[in-house]
Amino acid sequence: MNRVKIKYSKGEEIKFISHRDLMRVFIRAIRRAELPIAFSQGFNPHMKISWGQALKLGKTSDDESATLQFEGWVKPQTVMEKLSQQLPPGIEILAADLV
Amino acid sequence: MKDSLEKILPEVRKPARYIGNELNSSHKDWDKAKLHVALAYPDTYEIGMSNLGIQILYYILNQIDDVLAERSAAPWPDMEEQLKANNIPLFSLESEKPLKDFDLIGFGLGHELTYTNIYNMLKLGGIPPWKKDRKDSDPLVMGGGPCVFNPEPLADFFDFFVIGEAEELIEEIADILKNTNRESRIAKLEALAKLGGIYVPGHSNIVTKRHIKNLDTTPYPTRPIIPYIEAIHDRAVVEIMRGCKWGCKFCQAGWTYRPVREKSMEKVIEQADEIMKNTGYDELSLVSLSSSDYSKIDELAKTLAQKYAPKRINISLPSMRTNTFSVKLAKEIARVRPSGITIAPEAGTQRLRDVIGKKMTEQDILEGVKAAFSNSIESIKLYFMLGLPGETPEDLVGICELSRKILALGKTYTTRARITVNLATFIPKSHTPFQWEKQISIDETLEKQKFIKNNLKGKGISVRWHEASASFLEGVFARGDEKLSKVIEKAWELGARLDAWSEHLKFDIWQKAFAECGIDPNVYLRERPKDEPLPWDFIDPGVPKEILLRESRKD
Repeated sequence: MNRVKIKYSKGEEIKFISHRDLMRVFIRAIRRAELPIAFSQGFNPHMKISWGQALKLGKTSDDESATLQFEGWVKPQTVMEKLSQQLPPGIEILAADLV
Repeated sequence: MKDSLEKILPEVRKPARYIGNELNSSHKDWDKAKLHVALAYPDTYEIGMSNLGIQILYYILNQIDDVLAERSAAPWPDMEEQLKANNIPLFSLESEKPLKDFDLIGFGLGHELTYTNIYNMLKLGGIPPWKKDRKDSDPLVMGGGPCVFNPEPLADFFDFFVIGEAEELIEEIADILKNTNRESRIAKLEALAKLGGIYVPGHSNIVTKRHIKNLDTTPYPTRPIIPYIEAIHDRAVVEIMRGCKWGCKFCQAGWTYRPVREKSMEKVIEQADEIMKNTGYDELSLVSLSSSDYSKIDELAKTLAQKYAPKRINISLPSMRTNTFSVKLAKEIARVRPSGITIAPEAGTQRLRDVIGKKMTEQDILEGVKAAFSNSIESIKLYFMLGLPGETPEDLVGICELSRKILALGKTYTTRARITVNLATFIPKSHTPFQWEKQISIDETLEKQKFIKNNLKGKGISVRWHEASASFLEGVFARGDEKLSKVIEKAWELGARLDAWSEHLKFDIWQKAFAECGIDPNVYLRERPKDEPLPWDFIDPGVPKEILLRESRKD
């Protein structure tokens, strides 16, 4: 089990997407990328992701972050590559590091 | 365009409704396409994006090399204000082109209370709403979807309607329009009118519904567009069957989506796998009008549940008849424990259920309730209709008695048992055995609602109802005629928009519009003599009128 912190940008194409909707974009991208994300326990398990602070609607940024928890061992480089392929235009992963 | 949008989007609610660029949306080269189609949904983006018809047609059209299909939806009033203030025409989400630049606008007609939005979208898109005012350079305006089974109230605004299932003939339509691109509107429409299933107002022939023959071979959007904002149905959807075998006499879908066609289990699974891979949704919904009737529903649901449970993907089965089997199945396949179920007795007594052709006995209902509560479900939603043909005071008492009986039964399992009683007003629809029946007035609806509300009080019961004025308008347009187009225009002028939203529906505007046009709307709600010609008689939905007549008997 490891944790990977990603740093990403929120660009022009996607700046009018709310933080909550952006979280849903990431969750679906992680599923499509088939990354071994960890889930919480219980009746309604959800992905173990801790999100950085919400950006104001309409603002762009190249310093957003989120920390993903995985089951087993996943290389940060793999997370970056696989996730990048699945994200829509306007979100770019700038860095991925073990934490 | 980019710059003006930049300026107005921060000023409106949910700006993501207007930005496009969603996963799986199609971005083609405008100049290379021979035919430009805008699929327009006459309600908000979130509702339009949950419409399977729009997703299917978008998918089929964009698979054709030289055809480009884009989308547009009704703007929220704040966006309409901004568009007008900044002289921006209503545009497509993909290329941000004004609607008037397209060759064909296709509206999905899902509900009668969207008609002012159609007028509004044409107007905002730079297209003359009245067909007679359009020139050869204006787009053709096409309508499809459930409301085409009585298209007359809209006939003045549309160049043509597709009667039945548009996926069956959309490629033929695209072909004709590609090859007649430089010809006049009249020439285009004459070519289209030769296709079966196309109604061109003014050409007064019988139009026979078109429908697909085989659900396995018809294209299905396994790469649906995924909205950024939460759509009404925020999940992957696979249609497993079309049509319904039950023939309830009030149900238009049951009579117009015939015959019943099943998709094979292998095909459902294949499409489910593709759609889950292409979307990343955490829920897969298997849909049809009545999924309990799918011949291998048990095997299908369990196979998919087994496959997707490890991926934390939930399988859901809406439109199941509630009984021991369905409750057990739902419980077995659900990753998340279902907290409530739905039962639609429609009428309060056995006598009236028999009259309306709802083949459900009180024993069936109570068995479903027991199954639900004994499987730790705590809440039940009940659906009833007010004003059904042949309804007597005993039937209203029956709604209360049956509801109380269900709650009492629930209380024997858990003190937390609760029921929600939903009251709809019966609206006679075209091409059903009840198309000649009377619709009750607003006052009568309110009285009946009040009776039920007063008699169903107490812990564990809540009563909900459809707005009487909304049902009234729906009923007027459902059985209306071509005289209503000027009422739609008048209501629009007076400010009617998004009438399906109770927060926007202003009934006094409609009253004024009817009065100013000299039309008594109550005329449309009256009982029609069986020999009176009906405005929709020229549409042949595949069920002969003699059968509807025979089924219309109330004894």
